[in-house]
This record gives sequence, C-alpha cells and structure tokens, in this order.
Amino acid sequence: MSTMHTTEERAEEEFLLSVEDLNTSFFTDKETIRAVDGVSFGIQRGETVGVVGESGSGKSVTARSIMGLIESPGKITGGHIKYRGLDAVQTFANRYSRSTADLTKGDEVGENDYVVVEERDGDTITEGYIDIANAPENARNRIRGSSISMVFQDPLTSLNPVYTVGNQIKEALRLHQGLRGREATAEAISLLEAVGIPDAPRRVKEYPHQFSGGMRQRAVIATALACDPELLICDEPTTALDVTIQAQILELLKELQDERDLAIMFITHDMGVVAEICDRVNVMYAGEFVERASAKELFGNPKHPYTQGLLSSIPSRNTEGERLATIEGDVPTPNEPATYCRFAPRCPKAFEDCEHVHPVLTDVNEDAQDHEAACLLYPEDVPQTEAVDRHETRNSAAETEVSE
Amino acid sequence: MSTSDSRTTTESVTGSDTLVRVRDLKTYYPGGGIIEDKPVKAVDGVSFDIQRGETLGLVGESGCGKTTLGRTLVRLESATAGEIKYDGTEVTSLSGTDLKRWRRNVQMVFQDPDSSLNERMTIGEIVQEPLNVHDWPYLSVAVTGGGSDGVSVAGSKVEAFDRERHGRPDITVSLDGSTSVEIRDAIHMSQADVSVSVNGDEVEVGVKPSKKQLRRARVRELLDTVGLQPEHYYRYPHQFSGGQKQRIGIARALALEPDFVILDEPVSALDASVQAKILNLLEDLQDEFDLTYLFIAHDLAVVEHICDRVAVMYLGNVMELGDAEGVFDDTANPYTHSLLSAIPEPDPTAEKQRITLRGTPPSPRDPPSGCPFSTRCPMKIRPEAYDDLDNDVWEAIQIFRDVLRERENREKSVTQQFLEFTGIRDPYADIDEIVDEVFGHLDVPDNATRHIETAVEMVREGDSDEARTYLHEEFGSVCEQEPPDAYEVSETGRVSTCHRHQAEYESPADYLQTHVLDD
Amino acid sequence: MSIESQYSDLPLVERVKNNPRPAAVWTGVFLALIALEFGAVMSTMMAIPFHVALDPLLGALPNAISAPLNGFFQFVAGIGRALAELPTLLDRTLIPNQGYSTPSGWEGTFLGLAPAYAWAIRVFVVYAYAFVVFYWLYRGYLVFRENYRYADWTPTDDMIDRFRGHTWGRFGLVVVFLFVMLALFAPTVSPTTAGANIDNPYGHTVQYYDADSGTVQNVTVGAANLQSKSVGDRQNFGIGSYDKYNRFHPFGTLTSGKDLFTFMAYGARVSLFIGVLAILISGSVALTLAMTSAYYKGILDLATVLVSDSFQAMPQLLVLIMLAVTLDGTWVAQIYSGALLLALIFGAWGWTGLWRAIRGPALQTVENEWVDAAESFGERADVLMRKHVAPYVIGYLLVYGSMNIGGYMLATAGLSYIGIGISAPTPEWGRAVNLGQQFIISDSWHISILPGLAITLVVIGFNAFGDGIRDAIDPQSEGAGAEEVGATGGGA
Repeated sequence: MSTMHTTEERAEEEFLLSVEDLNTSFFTDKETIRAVDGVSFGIQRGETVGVVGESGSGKSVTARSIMGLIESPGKITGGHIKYRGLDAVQTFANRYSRSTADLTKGDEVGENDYVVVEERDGDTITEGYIDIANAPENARNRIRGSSISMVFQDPLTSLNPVYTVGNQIKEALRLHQGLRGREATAEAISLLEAVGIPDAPRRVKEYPHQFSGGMRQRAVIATALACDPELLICDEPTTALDVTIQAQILELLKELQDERDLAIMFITHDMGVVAEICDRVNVMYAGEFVERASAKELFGNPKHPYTQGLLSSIPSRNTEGERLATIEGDVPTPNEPATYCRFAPRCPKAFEDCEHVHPVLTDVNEDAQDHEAACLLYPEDVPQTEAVDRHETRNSAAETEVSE
Repeated sequence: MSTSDSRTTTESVTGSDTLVRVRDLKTYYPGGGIIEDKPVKAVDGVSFDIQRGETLGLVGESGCGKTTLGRTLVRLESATAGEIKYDGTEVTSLSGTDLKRWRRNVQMVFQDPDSSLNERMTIGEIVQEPLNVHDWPYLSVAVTGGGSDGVSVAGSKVEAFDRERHGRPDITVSLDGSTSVEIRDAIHMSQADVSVSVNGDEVEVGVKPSKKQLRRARVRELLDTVGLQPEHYYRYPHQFSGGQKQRIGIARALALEPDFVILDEPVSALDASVQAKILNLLEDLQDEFDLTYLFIAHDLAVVEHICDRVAVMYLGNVMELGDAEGVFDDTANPYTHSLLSAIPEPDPTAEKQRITLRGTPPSPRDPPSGCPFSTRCPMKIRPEAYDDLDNDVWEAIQIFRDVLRERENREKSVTQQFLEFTGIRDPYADIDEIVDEVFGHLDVPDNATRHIETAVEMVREGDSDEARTYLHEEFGSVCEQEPPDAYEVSETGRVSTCHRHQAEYESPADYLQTHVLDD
Repeated sequence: MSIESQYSDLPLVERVKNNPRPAAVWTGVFLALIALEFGAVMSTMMAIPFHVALDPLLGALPNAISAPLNGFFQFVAGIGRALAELPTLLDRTLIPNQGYSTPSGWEGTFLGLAPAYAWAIRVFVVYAYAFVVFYWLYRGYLVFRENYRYADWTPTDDMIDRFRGHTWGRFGLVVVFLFVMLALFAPTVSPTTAGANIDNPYGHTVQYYDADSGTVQNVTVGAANLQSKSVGDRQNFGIGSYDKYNRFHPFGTLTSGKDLFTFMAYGARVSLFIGVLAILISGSVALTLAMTSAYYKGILDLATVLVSDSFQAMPQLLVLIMLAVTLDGTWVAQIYSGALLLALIFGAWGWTGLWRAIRGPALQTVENEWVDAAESFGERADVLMRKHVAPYVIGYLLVYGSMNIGGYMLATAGLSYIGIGISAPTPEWGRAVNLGQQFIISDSWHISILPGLAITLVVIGFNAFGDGIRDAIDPQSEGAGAEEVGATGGGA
C-alpha cells in the first residue's frame, strides 16, 4: 500500500532512511501474525523520530526488521528499507557490483538488486541507496553496527556478562574498523568518556555486573557508537531505568546527536519521553501507523482517536482525583490483512463505515503540514462521505498496484 | 519557618485513627562475606504513620529500599531493628499461629504479573488458596438478644464466635422475640441455607452448603469484583493478558478481607492504557471495601494521582513525607526537587528547568556518612569560601572526590590486592590523567587549585586515604558529617530531611532559584 | 439463583449423566478388557496372605464372635478362590506351546500348530492385550478431556500433545513399553516358566515322542537341559531352534542348556525391579533435598552440598564392589538374590547426581513471586513446596531419572558380568553375557550377543523416552511456545 502523497513526496532523497510499505509477518503453527502491516516513514539526517505504541503494536518488530534481526518463523514479506548513507552505498556498489543497479548507466532495478545508484558526479556517487529488506545476511552484517546501530531495552542482557566492557567495545571496533590492541583500547576509553562514564580507564577493564543500570546503558550506547554510525535505533532504552538516570541518558543522547549529527529512531511507550526527545512522532497500533506528526502538533492537537485516548489516560494529564480515561478492550493481534479499521472495536468515535473501509494515512486537513492520521474522520474539512471515498480509492489504487 | 524537631512525624495530627505505626525501622541483609561482613542497609531508620482509609505513596528509585520496606511490613522479611505497630499489635515479634492469624489483615499485590501467579494452577485455585490456608470461613456464630448469656452454640460446621480469633461473627442469631438470623455479606449463603433451633440454653445451627462451596462462591464473586468473568475459574494464567493477570493478583489479595493492602509497583509492568484501568479499579475497591493502601511506585505521576500522602525514599531513608499536593507543588527536599525535575513532561512546549543529577546512587552496602544524598546533592552546603564558586567547578571537585572514593572501595581481586599490598602496582599511577580529564576543560580559581594539587601530591606519595581526608576537610561540610533530622516544613505536617532547613542556611527552594537554576 | 448453581459446579456424576454416551462406551470396553484378565487379578489378590493378619485377630476375640466371623471370612475366601479359577486370556495354558511331534502332527500345542507358531501367537496376544489396555486408558483421558472436564485446557494437555509429536520420544516409549511388558508378563511370554526350566529343572517333566520306540515318554527337564547345551561349534541350539525333546527355543539355549528367552524375560524382571526401586529411592531423596535447600537456602544448602560432594568423591565402582561383597552374607543380600541390595546401594548413591541436576531449577522456581505470595498469606512450608515448587522440578527429575535407570541397568549387568551382584540361579542379562563370552565367534554367539543387544536397546530406549519427556515439559522447545515469543519481537 503506497502512501506517496504530498508530504512524503517532498524529497525522498532527503531521508537518510526511508521505509516503504514494510510488511513483516510471523508464521507459526497456530496462526500468522502480521506484526508490521504496511508501514512507511522516513528519518532525516540528524533528527529524532519516535515510534510510540503499546506492547503488541509491532514497534520492536519494525526496528528489528530495519536491523535485519528477524528470524524464523518471522520474515519480511514485502516492502523496501532504503538506506541512503553515501559511504555505505559507495562501499557496497564496489563490493556487490553484481547486485547493483546503476541507474546512471541505464540499468533497471532487478529483483535481486539491493544496491541502487541514482546519481553520480564523475566517479563518486551522490545519490543512491541500499535496500536492506532485499539484502542477504552478509550484506546486512556490514551495515549493522557500522552504519546503523541499535540500543536495546535491557542493558543487563545486552552486555555479555563474561567479557569485560572494554572487550565488547573493542569487538565492535575490530569488526568494523579493524582496530586492535592499544589503539583499540584507547578508542574504547575515549568512547566511554564520550558517554559520560567517569574514570574510564578503570572502567574499561571491568565487567558488566560492576556497572550500575544507568552506566550499563551508557556502555551499550558507547558500543553502538563505536563505529560512528549515522543512524541509531533505540528500542525502549530507558524503560528499565530510574527516572533520574533516564534524564541523564536522554540528555546524553541529545548531546551525542548534536556532536555527531546522528539520526535517532526512538521506540517507546512513554509519552513523556517522546515529548522530551523526539522531533517527529509516529503512533503505531496493531502493526500500522495511525498518526504521524511533529511532536508539538501531536501533543497539542492529537487527531486520531487512539492517540487521544493514549494521551488522556496518562495520569499527569489529568487533574488529580478524577478517574482516568481509559480505552476499552485490548490491542488485537493482527492475523489477516486489514480490510477495516483495526481500532474500530475500541474506538469511541467509530461509525459504520469503519468496519468496511481500511483507513490510510491522510493529511488531517487542507492546511496541515506534516500531520497525518489514518482515520475515516479525516480530512476533517471535507464531508464525511467524501473522506471515506478518498480512503477507499486509495485502498483500491494500492491493490491494483500490488497486483501488477 | 523550619523548626528543629527530631523525628517528628504526622502522629500528632490524628492519633486515634492510625492503622500502621512504623518507628525507626531497619532492615539489613547480611553481607555474606566471611571475613568482613558489610550488611546491605536496605532500610536504614524509617518512621511514618498510615491512617485508616488513606493511601500512602512510597516513591524512590531502584535501590532505595521501598520494596524491602513493603516486604518487611508484610513479614516477608524480618526487621533488624525498630518497631511496626499494626492497630496496636507489635508485628515484628509475631510468630507461629499468631503470625498466621495476623496475616489475614495485611496482604500484598506483587509487581510482575507473569511471576506472581503459579502457571500450573487455575486462576480459581490461585484465588482460593488463601481461603484454604486459613480454613475460611470460620462460620462463627454469635448469639445476641434477650437471654443470650450463657447460651452455647452447637452444630457440626459452626463454631462459637471468639472476638480475638474471628474478628467479626459470620452468623448472628438474635433471640429477641422470634429468632432471626443475619449472615455477613462476604459469605454467600441465603437465609434458607441456615437452620436454627433453640433447645433450652443451646442453639443448634445447621449450615447447608459445604465450606468448599462457600469458598468457590467467594472466589467467583471476587473475580467478578475485579472485572473478570467468573466462568474463567478454570482457566490458566497464561491465557490472560498482563492487565488481567494483575487483576487476578488483586483478587487474591482481597480474598481474606484484609484492611491494609500493600501494592508493590502494581502497574509498572503494564501499558499506559491498561495502567489507567487498574488504577481506576484500585480506587473503586478502596471505596467499596474501606481499604488502606501503601502504594509503592517509582512513577511519580501515578503516585500524585492516586495517593493522599507521599513518602520519598532514598537509600533506605525517608527524605520527605507529607501530603501529596505539598510534596509535588511546594517541594521542600532537594532530592524531591531533583526527582520531580527529571520526569519528562508529555508536553513538548513546556520549558523545563531541569536539574540533572550527577552520578549514580551509592551502594547500600556502603552508604555515605552523614546525609545519604550528600554525594549527588545539587544543593549541598558549601564551605563559605566556595560559596560563589562556579557550579561546574564545584561539580568537578565532587567528581574528583567520588573517583578517589570509588577507587578505594571497588572490589579487588586477590591478585590485585596482593599487587597493591606489596607495592608492585600502584592503583593511582594515572592520577594525572584523572585530574586532566576532570578539570582539564575548566577554569579553576587559585584557591581551589592549591588544595587540589596538595591532594594529588598526597596520592602520588601513596597516601590516598590522607588525600581524601584532606579534601573532606577542605571542601566538606555538615552534609557529610551528620545525618540530617526531619524538619517540619508546612502546617500540614509535612517533614523534610535536610540540613538546609536549619535557620542558618538557605532553604532548598530558595537555593534552587538563586544558585542551581541560574546558569 | 438456586443454591446449587450459585456456588457449586456440577459434580462429575452430573456431568456424566448429562452426556452418558461416551462414558458408557468407554466403560463398557474397559470392563470387557478387565473381565478377560479378571481371574488373574483375583488370584493375585488371593495370594496376599490375609490370614497372617486375621488369625491373631480372630484368636483375640471371644469365641462367640470369632466363630461366625471366621465362617464369614471363609465364605468370602471361597468366592475369591472360585473367581480366581476363572479362565484368563493371558494364561499360558490357553495357548500352550509345549507339545511333542508325532508323525501325524503336533500334539499338545495350540491348535496343533508347531510350537514356534503357538509361542508366537501367545506372545502376540499378550502384547496386543497390553497395548489395547494402555491405548484404552489413553482414550479414557481423551474422552474425559473432550466431554467432561471443566477446564478446557490444562498444562498436561500441552505436554501430551508435544510428546505425541516427538518421534524419538515415541520410539523410546515403544521400547520401554516392550521391555516393561516383557518383565511383567515373563511367565506368559516365555516358552517355559523359570520355575520349570531354570530354578527347579529336576522337579518338572516334559513329554516327548520317542521316534525309536514310537511312544510318548517323560523326561525331567533337567535331563533334557543337559542334552540341549549350546557349546559352540560342537553342539549348538541357536535362535528359533528345537531341541531333541521338541522344545522350542526362540533365542536358543545357554551353555547349561536352559532356555535363553526365559532367562532373559525373568532377567528383565530383576533389572526393572532394581531400576525402578533405585530411582524411587534416589528420586525422592533428591526431590526433598532439592526443595528444602532451595527454599531455606543458607546453611542447609551448604550442608547438602558438602554431603553430596563427599558421596560423589568416593570411587563409585569400588564402593559398589566393596559393599556388594561385604554385605553378601547378610539377610539383605538374600532378598531377591541380591537385587534389593543393589537397588539400595544405587539409591543411596544416585541421589547426589539427581539432586545436583534439579537444584538449579528448584532455585530458579523459588525466585518467582508466587512463592512470596504464598508465604505472605501464611502457607505452610511443606504445602508451599509441594504445590508451588515441585511441579516445576518433577519434570527435570523425570528426565534425569529416566536416563539414570539406563545407567543402573548397565551397572547391574556389569556387576553380574564380573560375578558379583545378582547371584545364580536368578537370571540376569549380564551373567548371560559372561557365560557366553568365549563362544562369541562360534555358532553359539547368541548367548552373549542377544543379551548385550537387549541391554543396549533398553538403555537407548529409556534415554530416548527421557528425551521425549524433556521436550514435552519444556514450554519453549521447538513447539508452541518458541514461535510466539519470537513473534512479539522479544517483548515489546
């Protein structure tokens, strides 16, 4: 399903990473779970994009799909993940020339091509991308850690308890930059200092259990930054931490982003953290993005009923003593392709069409810059029947596209 | 105006309605070392009261001892010192049958819904287990009315009412005029199930349903009360979602009709929308059953929403204790200030003045001397000479002292100990690098530099202990020397534990404005 | 709302009444199966020495009461005896295979078939009956689960489903089943009985047709055995052979002329007895110690570790030999020809390894909050351990236990091979291996090889069975659980 409409068309080339119609499913004996069901978004250089949702929404699976960490019985069943880091594209074009489609030379993008060169300036590539969804394991290995790094939720299990922290940082350095010995140790120490761990020369020789929770997470961030990636994916990095430590880590991430022009994809379920650190936010529900906006817009003007429900169930947003607003029901597990709105059973604003038409992300109104919601109520400045029609035509357009 | 009052609590406010009274409670875990035994001081001298029917929140970060405090109140841990009085009874010394009987009054809801329910038991069995252990219901019969003195109770399933053992009678037979029978609500019997016959001075009471049936009925009703379907009696926990599992845990806690429920982070493991439902449920239950809650959490927003009074804990001590509104809006204690400012506000337009704490909480095995927060406090009292010192420089000095302390206290392997002992390896060989890293990018004024260099010299000569003492004398203050007392900071009886509440120092709230946030 | 529906579930009887057909069908077939063997059940019951308890009791009572009471007991005993005489299916006399061959055919065997076929038929009938009974019990569980059980899912269901799909485990189950049935029905399955052939051969006779004289003669089994020795190339009665007296030997004869199959069948009894008893002893000790040391931790754990390490530090084989030899003359060694002694020794040493193995899972289980919850409402320690810790530990115990059984059988065989252990004439597989070892490369290879193969197969079977159980109880083996964990992306 394509969501190439006004705001996205802006400039695909501006995005460091653009995900197009990603589909990841898990095929178990009992059922098929469409964990990520047609998700598209983009991350620009140096910006922080948040993905918010509850457990079961599929946000972790999205991150792992981008990193290529989906294992059987899961599979990426469709879509593209286009990474546009030029250094990586250049290296890949040289190394995997057989799977490279060079558009400047008149190639066509074949089925097995996962490197595409779009523009050249003499010999150097100025525009191009690597399609991670299509790439084989060894290619993905090269990207992981060096171009795109990931920070996981639980620092206790992200670090191997039988190796020193320094050893683990040096492992990443050795793998991607070929550093060894004293050079590697010096680099590891400077990384630990960069993430704010005091007395780094001593710490580099210590084991993870000698670190506290916050420091472990800093060490994990140091490992992730070891090879100077351009995109950092953080999967709920502060959920397991205390609030004061969380504040430190968020501050650290902002600092690092400024220093290194790092793009960050931040996954969380904590709306407070989102407001704190994200520039743009995507709200995810049952495998789909249901609202997309800048952080200010989303919190000031939430449009999708799910977002509204989420925001009003947060205690700090309610005055004390009142009952918290709740959303009835539970998050569904998406098993079949959506031909209806998945939130409809729980939505306080649902009406009949919601059971038959699948909403797609649309601008919420005429003037909206960069604020979209997947709800039949929008665009809100046109009559409802016309709005529903628009969603319907988009759906069938997508279907004909697919069947071709 | 702060008054110097040692260990004042809210006892003076309403004395007669106090349900739980904790005084100077200490819970230490044994250290485990064979030679040197440094106990883990999880709870280090805590005092507070809980009034009947109120919700007291207990907040703090991990390692502050709030979970241990909760567990000590339920007698899952034994207190090392101090007293806990529940409704007048001293709890720490209970044992045997008395302890088991007392357990009916206090129950706990646990944090992790996945591990608090035995996966091999149906949820009906899980909720029924407390009832089985205590042989509920006792079916105690009390006889009232004219001529009820000296009347004995007979019957195969019932027993005579004994206030000490039973608390409330389950069946009350009134002999005024025609014999009438009253059955307590929690027991699911109708009048038709009870047969009473009076033979002289003996009242024979027959009860039709078996205890097992009564328990089942109660379990079904509990499941209904917490929002689950009674038909799910035979389902297993893994067939439920996290929020539903937590409801089962709540149902189990309510089975024995406790008056006091300790909630150990009941919503931390749940999603935001599910949290809201469970919090609403807890409030409803409190109204319906007149419960008193101790709500342990680390999420301050949740605590503000649901609690009447709040206690803020750090490293086994209560730093601030008072009404929720006061603690959150009129904060007195430096730690509470830092905690509140660290919460990310779900409003991107909010301009937040944030106090970012430096470092990590010290280990409870080796708490700092004096105030436990002294190692990280942004409002630590400075010696007069350094009152105007740049904040960054002051912090760097603290970091330097921290590094020295940490190096001294770290775990050393046997080899390292040997090497250091014999002088082969010098743990402070890189002292210059440390100084460079900490102070390198700062502009340190001369008076401070002098003392720092003296300390570095001492370290180079191998006297790291002396260096630390020297720095302590030069840059230390009352914050590290004496543990602060609890001072009353408002008319509502709120107390805060900080030296700054004394008259000669600037109060934390003022200091915040003038020094901390000015940069 | 009526009282019943308000707080009681329908008891089982009511549920059955509501849907009688499946229960009726199942019960009918089950009763029929029992009826086939009812006589055997009754004769086992009659074999219990009731009079040992009853006679002193009767003696103590005054005569007026004891006389009619005695009469009553005699009456009941009489009925019991009569019922015990009922024909049973698995009686060797129903399908006899001992006969003699006359020029006009076989006499005395079942339907006049050759003894080989008669024996095969009997064996088939025994195994078929056992299989049908077990299958029918399994069917009973399925019927209950589908029609009469309230819970629509229990953890046991998952375990059984997973085991059903596990090929290696099913193979193990088959082997174990064959072995256990062999041991249980040894008298019926063997071509002759141990009493006749092995223990007291001179007290029994067989008939045979003497071709020379043309008449039917009697000869003692002992003498017949002397004529049937397998001693290598000189004289050999191998697999599936008949000896001079028309006796059929499915597995051949031993060097002493005794029937090898009978020897092995009764030897299976001994092995099974030792294995099961040893596992029961070591298993229960290990389970108790593991749960208490996991629950109380501290010094109790430390003490158990020290004790178990001390046991394990002793060289087990030497201790075994030493104990077996020293205790040889005592009354313990006389019971079952030393099998009880061996079982006790294995049990007393075996708990150390088992305890080690299940201590880990026990410690992990105790960390769960439900144990805390049970403590917090006052559950007694022993009930807590039984309900909340034991179910999680028993699975591991079963796994390691089934692997250990194989070890005990091997050890028993080994000891018998070197001559200590089970004393003659009680059969034991290891001894057969020893007896035939000099004939391995001759025609009489069957004496050593067949018991050896049997030991190997049975041990493999138990290990495979243990494997199957392990995968069945582990919720995250490649089966249902693992995929769902992955599908949520590992927790968010």
